[in-house]
Amino acid sequence: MHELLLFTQIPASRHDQVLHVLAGVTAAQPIECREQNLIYMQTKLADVAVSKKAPNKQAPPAQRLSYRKLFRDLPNGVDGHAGPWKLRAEELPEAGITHVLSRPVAENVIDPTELEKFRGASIWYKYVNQYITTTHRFVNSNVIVRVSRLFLPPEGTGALEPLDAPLPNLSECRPLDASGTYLVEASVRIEDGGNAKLVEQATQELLAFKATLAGSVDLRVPDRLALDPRVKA
Amino acid sequence: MPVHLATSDNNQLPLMSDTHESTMSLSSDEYRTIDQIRQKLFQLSSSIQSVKVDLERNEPLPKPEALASSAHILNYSLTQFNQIFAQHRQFLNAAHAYPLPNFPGTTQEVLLGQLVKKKLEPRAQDWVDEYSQATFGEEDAKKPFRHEQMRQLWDWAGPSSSDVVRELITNDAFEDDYTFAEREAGIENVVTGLKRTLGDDSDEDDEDGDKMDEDVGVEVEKSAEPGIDTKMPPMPLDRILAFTMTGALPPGFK
Repeated sequence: MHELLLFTQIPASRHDQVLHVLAGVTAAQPIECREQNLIYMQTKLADVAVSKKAPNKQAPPAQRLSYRKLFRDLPNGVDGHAGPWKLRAEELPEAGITHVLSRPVAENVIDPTELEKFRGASIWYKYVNQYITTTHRFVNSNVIVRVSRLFLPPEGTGALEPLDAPLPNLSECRPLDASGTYLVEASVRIEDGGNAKLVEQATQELLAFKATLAGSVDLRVPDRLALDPRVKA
Repeated sequence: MPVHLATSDNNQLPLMSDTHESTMSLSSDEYRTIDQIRQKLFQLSSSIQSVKVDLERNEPLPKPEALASSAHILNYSLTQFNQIFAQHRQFLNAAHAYPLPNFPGTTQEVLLGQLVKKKLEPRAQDWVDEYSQATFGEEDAKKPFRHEQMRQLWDWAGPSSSDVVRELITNDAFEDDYTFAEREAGIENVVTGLKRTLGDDSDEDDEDGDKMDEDVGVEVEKSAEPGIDTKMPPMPLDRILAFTMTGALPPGFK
């Protein structure tokens, strides 16, 4: 899978207004969701020859150790169960593209045997950190817009085994950005990043959406290297 | 083309009444009746024509008030026509037309045909059949309302409906913020979507203003969330994105 992205940031005071604007533009109410994201650092490269290994399956050029994410949906209310763990492998955004960020992404539900690689003293992955997102999601034809706030769970959460830790309680979490800003992400996903025609079409759609919101929510291209998943030596 | 009905003196188209023993000219009274009916029909036909033109040509359609007044005029003309017709029912039922020998039958054949014809045109007959069928209920459909029943119904329904409307207007019911049903169920349970209380009387405007100010205050308080200080400088976007990739907190983060 391939992802085209634009980002921006809005202050807390504009949150309601932006939700209203987006609801108007997309002609739909937002969908609220919460996600828990665990960030892992690869400690050993998967053998590329064994292509059934999911993380590297769609990204054979990834010869360097990278950060990977496990994430799952959290229930919105007090009751309810969290969704299954999904593995998300984001690659470095492609260089030389200026209007949008364009990167290969692999995302799939992880099976229990694969999940074992993320536990305890595995030689494959090492737990780094985690964060919770509360998100309002909109969909405008092929553009997915997520307005999220990032939270850090209380100190010490998941110190032993983050995968088995009890569901974090949002009221105990603190915002990553104390000024309360929201992260706005607009993305278009396409199946085949090698199909130039498709990439072009998706780019145009994303840029058209950006033009629609211009002046209200100014989407922009962040520094490509801010989304660098590679593990620094 | 106005049909010139005339007595035999005028040598055009005499009418003969069966109530008379032999061919006789019309009395001046009868003549006047026929002329009245002609006038009423002419009025009715032209009002129908004008409503039709209004509906066909006006864009947008005429206002409901204008339509209602047209309908009223039509109704009035019909009523008058009915009255005259009812008054002279006996004479009109008995009368029928036939041409005099000196009627120019060869040149006015169509007109003559129309005048002498007793049956309706097939299209008109279909129309009469269709709309004479009452559709008030399964039982009643078989026996249409008689004229008398219809009049009884309207004698009752007309005044009583205008009574209801008059009451609504004198009570300013259309100006009220609440419906009758809401008033009866108690207005404190009504979900208005507004936080301020709607005044029972209009002289509470000042108070409403105050309450709105309070609401704004509440709004501000609500947005103050725990752990968030909107006065602080925002964390740069790139830092946030970098955190989502590597989990590394920005330098100086505590």
